[in-house]
Amino acid sequence: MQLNEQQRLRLAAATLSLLGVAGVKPAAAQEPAAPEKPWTFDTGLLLYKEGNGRVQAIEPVLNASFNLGGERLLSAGLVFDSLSGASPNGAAPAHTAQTFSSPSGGGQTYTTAAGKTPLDDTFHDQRVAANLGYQFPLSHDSKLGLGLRGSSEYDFTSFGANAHYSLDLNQKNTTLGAGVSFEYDQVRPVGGAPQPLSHMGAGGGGGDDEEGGSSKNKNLVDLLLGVTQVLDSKSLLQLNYSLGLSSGYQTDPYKVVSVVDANANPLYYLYESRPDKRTKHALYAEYKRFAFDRDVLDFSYRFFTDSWGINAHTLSLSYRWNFSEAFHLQPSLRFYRQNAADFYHFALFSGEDAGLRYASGDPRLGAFTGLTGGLQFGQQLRNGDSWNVRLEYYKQRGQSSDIPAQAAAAYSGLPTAPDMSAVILSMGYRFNW
Amino acid sequence: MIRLLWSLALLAGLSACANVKPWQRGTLARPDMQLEADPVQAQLDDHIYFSKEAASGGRGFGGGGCGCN
Repeated sequence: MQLNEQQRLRLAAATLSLLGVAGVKPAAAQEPAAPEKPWTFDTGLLLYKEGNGRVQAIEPVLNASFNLGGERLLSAGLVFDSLSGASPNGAAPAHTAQTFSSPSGGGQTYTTAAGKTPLDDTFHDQRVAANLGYQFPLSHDSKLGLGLRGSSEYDFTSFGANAHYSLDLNQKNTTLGAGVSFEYDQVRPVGGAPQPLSHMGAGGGGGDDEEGGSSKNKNLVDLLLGVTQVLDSKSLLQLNYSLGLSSGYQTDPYKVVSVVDANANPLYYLYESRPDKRTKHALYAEYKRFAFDRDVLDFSYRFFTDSWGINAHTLSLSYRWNFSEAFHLQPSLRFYRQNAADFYHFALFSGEDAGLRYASGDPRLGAFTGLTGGLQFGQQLRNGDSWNVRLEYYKQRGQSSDIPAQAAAAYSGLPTAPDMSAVILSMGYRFNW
Repeated sequence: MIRLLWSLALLAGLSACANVKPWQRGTLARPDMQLEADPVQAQLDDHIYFSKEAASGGRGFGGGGCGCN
């Protein structure tokens, strides 16, 4: 018997609904009822540790969602973050020991040994972040998700709201998505916000500077447009474009840039200065394929460019080897590369700072490559719960750039492109209740 | 940029010669075949890379709301 398209669809839908297969329903089907266990808890714990006594962090995560039935989902999440350790302060290494004033002021200082990258070891922070979300269908083919989020640190507060719309087309073979997110951030630097490009005092922070003020803020708007296409019964492709617009205070109040002479001796340090506006564009593609009727291959690439002159490429590859019904091993590899921001300076040569509007020595705005290798092991339990543990190694390899030519010879033998490495252990447990 | 996105969207649409029927979706419905199969790991990754690298965005809105960058 030859069936036409419409008959085929109806027959399939009827068969699948008889079999109790979720996600496929005939047009006139009733809304799915709330499941027997409407709660889903998705929990995680991150342990992050950088080498050489640098940053370490512990971060527990708890996400819960409640299925209200009718494809309506209420969700809430909580993250706690505890950080400590030393972080580069932006200054260049020197042939002599260097002393910096501590952000906490009060005449406190810290000293970096000769030939070492200056690290601020007073860095410690605790952060709490929470989010709420509600997702519901607008029609048979479309749904809307709304979210609120907030986070708090001792010197930083953030509030955000977002909305995401998705529309299924072409018998759910194509999904279009559009989202918008707003965020308001307020930073209250310890000791006050220093005036950008002012001299770092020998024994105090920038707190006394009247022009700096104690509280600074910025606004962010993000737009996300995407299309997800089913390629065949075993593979799909997602393409996204995101636009990020931020305005306000984007300077790091704790970072400085060195002003040096021809012998690479620091004459003084300036608090860094970043533009108030930043526009970010990202193009993202992800391809996912079910391989050998057992495993999952995931490949993604992102191109990023922004108005600060940074271009970055990110490549990610993972292979989930479902070596038995319940267990999997997932090796993953991530490659990242960025060039330096237009206003990044490893150091400024004496006199070069006159008339300068923006300057930063933050290595995160410098040129580097990052490589992450990881392995995840996971199990799906008989009761439907699942857990996994993942161990990763992240290595940043700096590339020397923007060294003042007049001092270039004097910098040979000093670490002008320091590396950074981190061990990342994360665990997850997911269950329904 | 918008034009470029549209071109990509159109390209994806045109190249979608395969039209997978609802009853052929068993594989694509697997939890490990979802684009965000492990949201907690993705959230943790976003947070780490947002605080250590200059680039962000593309996949979603993750990573923000942090004084770390």
